[in-house]
Amino acid sequence: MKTAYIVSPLRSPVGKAGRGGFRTKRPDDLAADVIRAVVGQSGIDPHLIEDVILGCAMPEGDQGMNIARFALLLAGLPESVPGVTVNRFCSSGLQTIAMAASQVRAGDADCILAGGVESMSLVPMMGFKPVGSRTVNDHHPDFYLGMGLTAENVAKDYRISRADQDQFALESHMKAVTALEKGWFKDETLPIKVSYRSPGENGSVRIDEGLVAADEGPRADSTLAALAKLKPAFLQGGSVTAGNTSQMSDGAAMALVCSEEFVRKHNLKPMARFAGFSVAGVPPRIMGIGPVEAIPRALKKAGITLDKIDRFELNEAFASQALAVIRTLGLDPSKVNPTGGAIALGHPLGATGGKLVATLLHGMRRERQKYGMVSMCIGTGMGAAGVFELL
Amino acid sequence: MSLKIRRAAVLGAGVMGAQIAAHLAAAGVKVHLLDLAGNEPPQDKNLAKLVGKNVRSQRAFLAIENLKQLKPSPLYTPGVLTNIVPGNFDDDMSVLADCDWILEAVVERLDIKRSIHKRIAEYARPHVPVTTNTSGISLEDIAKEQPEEYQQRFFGTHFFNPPRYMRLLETIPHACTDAKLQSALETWIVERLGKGIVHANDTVNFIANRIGVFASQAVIHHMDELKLNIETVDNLTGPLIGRAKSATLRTADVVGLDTFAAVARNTYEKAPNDPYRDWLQTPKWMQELIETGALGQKTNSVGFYKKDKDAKGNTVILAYRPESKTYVEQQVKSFPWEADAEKERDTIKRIQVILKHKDEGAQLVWRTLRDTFSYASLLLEDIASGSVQSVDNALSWGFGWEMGPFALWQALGYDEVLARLTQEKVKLPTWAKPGLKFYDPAPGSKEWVAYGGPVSELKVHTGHAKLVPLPQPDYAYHLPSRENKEDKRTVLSNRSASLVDIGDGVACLVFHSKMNSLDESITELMHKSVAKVKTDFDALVIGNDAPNFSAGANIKMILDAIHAKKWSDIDTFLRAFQGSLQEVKFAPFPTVSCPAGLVLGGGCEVTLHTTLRVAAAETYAGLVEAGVGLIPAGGGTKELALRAYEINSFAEKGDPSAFLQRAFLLIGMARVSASAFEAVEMGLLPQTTQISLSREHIVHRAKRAALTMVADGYVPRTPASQVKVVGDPGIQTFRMALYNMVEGRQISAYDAEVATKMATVLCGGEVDAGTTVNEQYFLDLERRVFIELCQQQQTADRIEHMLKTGKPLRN
Repeated sequence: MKTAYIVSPLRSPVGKAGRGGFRTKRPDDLAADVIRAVVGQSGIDPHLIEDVILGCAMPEGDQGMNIARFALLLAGLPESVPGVTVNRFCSSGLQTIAMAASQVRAGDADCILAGGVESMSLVPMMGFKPVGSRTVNDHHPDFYLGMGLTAENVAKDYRISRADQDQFALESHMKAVTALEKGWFKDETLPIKVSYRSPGENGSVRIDEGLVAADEGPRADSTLAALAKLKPAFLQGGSVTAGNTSQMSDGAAMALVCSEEFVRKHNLKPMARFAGFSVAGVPPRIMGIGPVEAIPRALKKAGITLDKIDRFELNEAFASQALAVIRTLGLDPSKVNPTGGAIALGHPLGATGGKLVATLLHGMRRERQKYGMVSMCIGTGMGAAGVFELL
Repeated sequence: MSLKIRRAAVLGAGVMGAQIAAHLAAAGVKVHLLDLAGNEPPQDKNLAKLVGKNVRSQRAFLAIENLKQLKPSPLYTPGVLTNIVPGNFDDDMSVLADCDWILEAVVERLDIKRSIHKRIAEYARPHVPVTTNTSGISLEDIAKEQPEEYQQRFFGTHFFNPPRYMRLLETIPHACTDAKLQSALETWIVERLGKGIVHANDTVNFIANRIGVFASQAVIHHMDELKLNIETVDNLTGPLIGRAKSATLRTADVVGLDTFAAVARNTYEKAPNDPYRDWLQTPKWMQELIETGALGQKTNSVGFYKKDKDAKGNTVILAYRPESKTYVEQQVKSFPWEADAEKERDTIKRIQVILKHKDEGAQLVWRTLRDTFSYASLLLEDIASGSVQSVDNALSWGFGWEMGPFALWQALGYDEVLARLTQEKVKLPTWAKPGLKFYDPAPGSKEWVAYGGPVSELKVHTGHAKLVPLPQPDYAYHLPSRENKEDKRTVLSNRSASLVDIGDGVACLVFHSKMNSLDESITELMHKSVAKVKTDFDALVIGNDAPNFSAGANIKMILDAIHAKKWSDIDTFLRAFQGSLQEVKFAPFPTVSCPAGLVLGGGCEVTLHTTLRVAAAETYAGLVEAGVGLIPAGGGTKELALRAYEINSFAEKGDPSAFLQRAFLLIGMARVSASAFEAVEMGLLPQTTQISLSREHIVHRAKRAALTMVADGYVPRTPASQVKVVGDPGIQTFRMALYNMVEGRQISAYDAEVATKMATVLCGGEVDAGTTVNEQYFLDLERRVFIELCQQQQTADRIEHMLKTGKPLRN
């Protein structure tokens, strides 16, 4: 098997869905901005890109029509470069990198651009027209259980208290605020131009331009008392609130996945070696526990043990599931999300995997660490995990 | 003279000014709401965004913010606020030149009122009415220093709080007021604002407050002597004797003890010849309460009563004890006549039971009635130009009394009451001789009920009393409130409904069952009415004069059928109900319904089937069947579904789901509108619904609307035949959401079952998506689902619980 390398992992800032800077930014335009930056930073000839694999959790509406192909064309890549959109819900952006790596490792490709994008501002969760199935309703209604309720099930089954969830959420914000203040996301984040159109005088349109340069989610004013006041968002008498749940967000992230020969020939400086990946299924009713199954399998594939991992980017879909994963697997909390997680920084569904890869690798380089892992739970009961070795 | 009021100004953005502005705005008038200019940075966080001139208008902006918070809401819909333009006295007085009515509602101080009217006179267009909303300042005093032309168009318009809900508006002219202009504005107010006008003279506190506050002062005067505590007094002087629920002292808590005392003091100081002047002084113990700052609701609910928490944290209302100056648990004293009185649902009979007794409770009741009779009759000529109806209307419309003093006196027996008053040497005017009638027909009599009020009233002029005919407005039809075969206008009738000829070729179907609930008799008469109107009339109006159009189907009848397992009876009733509503919908003549008050369940379904609706603004409409584990099956679910599919049919490749979901939430959550405006906004009543702020005018306006359609050539509607429904996949999508609501414990499993049935009808049945069905199929689905629900124990339990407690059971 050949070796796959990760080159120039970059991401957009993560915007708040609905009212943030990307509220009107089309996801194909956003992905194109990131594609352009990754290709530019790597310095490769774009003709050499063999495929663009883009993850997206709700690939319809503004992000329909095979957004991968649209985004790469909008980025100005040659028409000869193909594109494919991949959906595995919240792990889509990691899935694409793993798929690219598989092709490289199998010797089928030398250079693939992979990542993810999501505009939760423009395309709602579950899409524009969810339609129920009689078979599912009659026999497996739990397949339709909302994510918040699965988080409640995890909290109940794994005895995760409201206080612990709120504490976890607060820490996520505090870590993210510190990271933002210290400029730790600067290297991985790409400022994105935005514009807004509103009625102008005499029937003209007024165009306001702006720049989104930093993540919008973290709240320096978050307190335990404020978090404790929030009402349960999904279950009456439950413990999962808007405050200890990931934020709905907009964002995009991409990286190049290249073979050793390609890296050497074009004199690239890869950040990491792709060491292993796995996906696993769990009961849909406790969807959030997915990483518990996926992480050991990914480690086995990477051929290392859990204690070797210096840094985890574990997607905080919900504090309850993140805590259940940490406790069940005995992860060292100080190694998990040291610059905050999705509760503070946001969770742009299909983009999250790619975004976490960028954050992991840049963070490991800053801290001079060796092994890192990205993992997340996935709707209808799955987990994904990827292992990376910093070079 | 008829006035066109399209733009108005309200000066003074206090609680009254702002609410009056909101009421005018609801009538479609552009209102400038002005107050003192403010230059300081606004305190309220909602005003932080104000810039430039708007900062100076911050008081008006703040008043508008407060309107959104007030309970009960002064806004029929937040949308009316777009008709209010905030401004200030420094920058915006020039707008007065464009206004058709200028209403001043500044603080109750003569000097301030005088100076603001001087400024209004500089800007107002000539001949435009200028009125003041005062409750206690003499009109003469305000007008005195103004130019003569100004004085002619100046008079008082005294709204009662809250102006949206209180029907009373006292109009008060002064010596120079142009009677024609006053009358023209009154006509506009009656028609467009729906207020009831009472003509008051320019005397202290006018009519309602003069007598209403005296009545309370008299109660307070007697309670000490009879050694009755606060809560007992309120128990004796509230609904028991046909007065408002807040009775005497609780009312003072709501109004504010200081305001209450000030009104009494105003009479005391300015009416030195008041026949009961001494009683108007605030008793020492009450004065002490005021001095300690216990003013009632506005001071943290500490006044005569105190809102507190008990050991378990439950809210308790404690009552004040002047002796110990403490608040204690309420101890309502009971009296020997209570059981007998409770049996009487008729207020007159109840009072008669009480008056046979001599205990302190009966004493208090008698004395408060006695004093009010005496006071009202002594002041009648002075304050109300001798019109007994003016006084009675003022107290009914302004203080929520079931009957005013004169109507009550006559209902209790004029001569018997007079004899007792004379025997007790109560002060009375010389005209109060035996054998008088205040009204004809007598209040509470069969004729009064049948006709809906009096034909003539007693009028006293220079000490001479005589019955004079009352003007009958052309918009009043006096529709029967019970079966009345003697009424020559009755075309068809049974115990629950009547078809009445209201002239010009229009017949009116009137419900008069208990709460106007729908039963077999109404269904039957509706069916017969359609046939009758086809041959003998041009159009049909469905309306009545009752407070509530209809509280819905008679669920007791349905429960009986469930207990007897007579499913076919239910099916028969539903077929008849659906059938008669379909006949109304597809009649060859126009039909117009008149929703007002409660318009629930089946009542709402009736209004959904008429060609048009003229609704009273105070309409509380909803398809509330889910509360009793049922779905609207008189065609209501069908109507909402058809509307959703119809809207969607305008869109190429459209998706009806969003519109169906709106209907689903309306029925599923049993939502009831807080006004007719909201009923339209929430998608319940169709957009074509016309809204009238005047409850009194809706039948008349419905008739006019029907006649217009007749004159213009009415084209009957045809049943929907090609409805492309979402079918089973639509139902499954609702189930997906319902499953999550059950799992999230937001609804019960049975709620979800009822809702799934509802979805089945809305989606057009368990058919393939895109299947075409007709209107009748929806009706068949409604009936099928309704009976399936009737066969569930939970539905029977829900109906039983509703009948017993009046509240929905969520099982």
